[in-house]
Amino acid sequence: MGEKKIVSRNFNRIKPDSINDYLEVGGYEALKKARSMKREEVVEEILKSGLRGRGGGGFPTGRKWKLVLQEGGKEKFVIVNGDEGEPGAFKDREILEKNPHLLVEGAFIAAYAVGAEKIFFYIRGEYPFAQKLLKKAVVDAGDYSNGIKIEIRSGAGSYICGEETALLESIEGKRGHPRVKPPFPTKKGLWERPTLVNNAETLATVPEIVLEGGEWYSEIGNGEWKGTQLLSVNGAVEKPGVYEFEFGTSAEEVIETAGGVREEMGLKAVAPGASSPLVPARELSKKIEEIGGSGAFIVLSEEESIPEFCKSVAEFFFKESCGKCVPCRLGVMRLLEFAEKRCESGLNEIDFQDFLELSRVMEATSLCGLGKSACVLMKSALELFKEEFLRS
Amino acid sequence: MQVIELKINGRSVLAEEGETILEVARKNCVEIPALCYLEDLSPWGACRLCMVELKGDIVAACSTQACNGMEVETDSLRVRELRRRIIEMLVSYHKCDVCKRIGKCELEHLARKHGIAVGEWVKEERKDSSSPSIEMDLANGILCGKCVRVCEERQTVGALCVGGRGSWSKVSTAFEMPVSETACVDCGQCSLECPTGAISEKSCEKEVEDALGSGKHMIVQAAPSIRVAIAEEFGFPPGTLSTKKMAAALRRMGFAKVFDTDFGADFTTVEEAHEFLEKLAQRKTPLFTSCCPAWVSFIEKFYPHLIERVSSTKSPMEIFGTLAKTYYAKKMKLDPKQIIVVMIAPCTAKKHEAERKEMKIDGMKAVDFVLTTRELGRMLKRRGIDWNLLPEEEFDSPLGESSGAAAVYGASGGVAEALLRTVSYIAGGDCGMEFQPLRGVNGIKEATVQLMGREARVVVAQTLGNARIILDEFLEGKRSIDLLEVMACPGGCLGGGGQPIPTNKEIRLKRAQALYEQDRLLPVRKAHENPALKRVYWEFLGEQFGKKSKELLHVERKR
Repeated sequence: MGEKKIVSRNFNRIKPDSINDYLEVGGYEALKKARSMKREEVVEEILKSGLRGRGGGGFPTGRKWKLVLQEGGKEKFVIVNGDEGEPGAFKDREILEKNPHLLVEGAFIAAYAVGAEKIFFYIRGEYPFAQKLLKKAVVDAGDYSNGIKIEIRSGAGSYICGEETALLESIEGKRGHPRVKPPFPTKKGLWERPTLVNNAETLATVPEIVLEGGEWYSEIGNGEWKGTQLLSVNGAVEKPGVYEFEFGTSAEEVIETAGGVREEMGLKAVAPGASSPLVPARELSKKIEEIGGSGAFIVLSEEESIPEFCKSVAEFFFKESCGKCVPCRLGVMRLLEFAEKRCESGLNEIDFQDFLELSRVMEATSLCGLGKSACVLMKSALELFKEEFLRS
Repeated sequence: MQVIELKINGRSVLAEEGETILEVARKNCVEIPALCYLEDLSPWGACRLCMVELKGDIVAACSTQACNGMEVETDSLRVRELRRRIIEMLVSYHKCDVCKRIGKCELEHLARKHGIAVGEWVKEERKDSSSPSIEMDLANGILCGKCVRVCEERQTVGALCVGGRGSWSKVSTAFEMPVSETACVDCGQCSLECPTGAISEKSCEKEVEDALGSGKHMIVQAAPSIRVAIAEEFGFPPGTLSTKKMAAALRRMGFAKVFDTDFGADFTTVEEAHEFLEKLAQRKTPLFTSCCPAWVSFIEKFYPHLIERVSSTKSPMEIFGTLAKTYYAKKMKLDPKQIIVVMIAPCTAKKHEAERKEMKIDGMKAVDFVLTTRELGRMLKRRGIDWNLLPEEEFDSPLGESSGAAAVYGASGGVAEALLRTVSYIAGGDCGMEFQPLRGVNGIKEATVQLMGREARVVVAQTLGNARIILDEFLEGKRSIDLLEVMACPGGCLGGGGQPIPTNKEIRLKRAQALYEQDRLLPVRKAHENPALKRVYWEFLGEQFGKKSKELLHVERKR
């Protein structure tokens, strides 16, 4: 296990704004191959590969494609979710800035496989450089479009619009509120049409699978988790950046690959973004697939205050909750109150109990993943680093 | 349609495939609280109070379809605990001390039922009193989104939206403009569906109470649909017809004369019937009815090029006010400036209509104050009037007599029906008395009648969403119309934005039944046969649709 380059193979090897560079390394061959196959056969290869969504949900990609393909001859859409908003994650940006054609090719293959006529790229608004490169790539790849239309939409700074149904609402010009599911987007998505929403990294993996075959891909990785994952390693490491690892790699190996913990500092924990539990130093043998999250890997040194970190996470959710459902809108307000109280006067046992109650309610009753997971990090922090939260 | 079987709290129940758990539960008398659910609107899934347990899973009943063999627990220990926590969250960020909805707030009710004290966590003040019809205290909203969806989906007006970020999200208007500067047409359906007091009617109770003590000549008129709804404010079943108790109650409030908007309605019918026949003869139809002020505003704001299609005839309320300050003042030898006309309306938009410049006579407002049914209920209670003990009394003369045609004005299709009764008399011939196709709950209703040797197409729409469908079809040339009646509220005025809370489908149906029953029982059922009306034309107005009538009872509709 360890570093393995599939998606990132050509990063820094080709010029991102040159389609010729991309063609030289075999670009758009996968697309040609896919188009020579039946749609069902393409979907079958993805199913065989065992590829799962890289946006955090981990839903089997082939199954999603199959659901959209089965929807028959209606108007359909493919949406590339590049609205990467998880704190500490920047791996989709890396794809867009280092090899945008890979993503365009993956999206074309997906559109062909599910029978969609139009692709929307929904790209985070804070990625202007990535958007510029993508625009050029889309224009340059015009010869390969086969009549499939492409539209690039920019996000406008909202975290919730990375949630697939809120993203649909946003493209439709509405406020980014998650929809009630079912119906799922595969049945009724953008403008009530069957829609395939895939994370950018997921689609960037597709060309290689089509070229090498699903079986080849399914032999990489560990257990249920096939292939590789891009991680945005940052925080207290010597060489922060995006690295690609095979599933089965441990957190320890990840940190080593990124040059180790910075300047002999001790390591306290790893935070896989704002909505997953912390991994303490003693559990660094954990595999990346067990750690979860959507590609963020924040290394916290011993100098870091866990309560302060929790407060910054709470402030993030306080701003980014969409405000639609009660447990999330009012729950994140409470969450912030807890985090602030700790920083002012410390918490006591009653506060701990109240907090656990709050996290239970939010997990069980929130409408979408944001509310369900908003308390997860702080809950793990309270379990692992309780003494830091006590009344001082 | 497939029938499925599932268990709710251990009891087997049958359901139709496609129904949600909430719908099935309610049909089977299992109560599941829900603050953001309304049957005619899209599922929203925001309040999360309807969470139920499915073998350990917690799901929202409003947006989860019932399946065969499902085992639903609506009241398990876990569900009760979660529900309680959500209510606690809601009330702890809500203030109750300054609200008009006392006793009728769904949130307050829920909190009390669960033994949760209602807090007063004061958020920023964000009152919007800019509108003549509704008042918003949006800082107190619970974001159930009903107002937003009612405005957008039922009315296709879209004056309200959700704004702000994160925990500070709130119901808002575009660019946080005052609501009076938005596309709001004053229908007040938001205030009717609001589960709390965050949106309410703009009250003028105090102004009326002050005026009652001012020594001026106070007269009151009550709209056709008040008499079938006001008793609900005192706990009587929906559809209790209480015309005579209402007259007695108003008299006990201190009004010098208690009159009836139905009297004005008969004038509207007669004048509009002439106007319709004139248009029909000139082949200038369709004619749109004009009694619903929210509908008139809707045309002004969304279809301004169609404004000339709207009948020039004033609404019953305005005709009443006009005759009160002209004919009645003269007859009683009163200075019109000393007369205060109070209207009891089922409607918030009437508050706006009363303010309109074109409705003024000699610079005076024809109608001085408009109270909704809810405001009247509160005022009566404040005065300690006991509905049970009230005697039955008649309206005063001469502005209190009316026909059955006026009674049905309160229901969707009623204005068209009243018009047809009179139109056929004027044109010669008889198209009948009761027009069943124009009655009932359908959003769009149609009938064809023989008039002046041709077929005249009558279309009736309830809610502005349905009106928009008709107008768009008409503009695309897909629909020919001679007479179009639109009522902005579902069911017509009896489901108006100012009516008692709750107002729902069953309640509207019962109020409608009471109105039609009243029509059947009246000796005079056609507007033109109302003896009081004939007397006014004879003594004061002269010819029907003549010079003086046009001057007093009509307004110019122009862009």
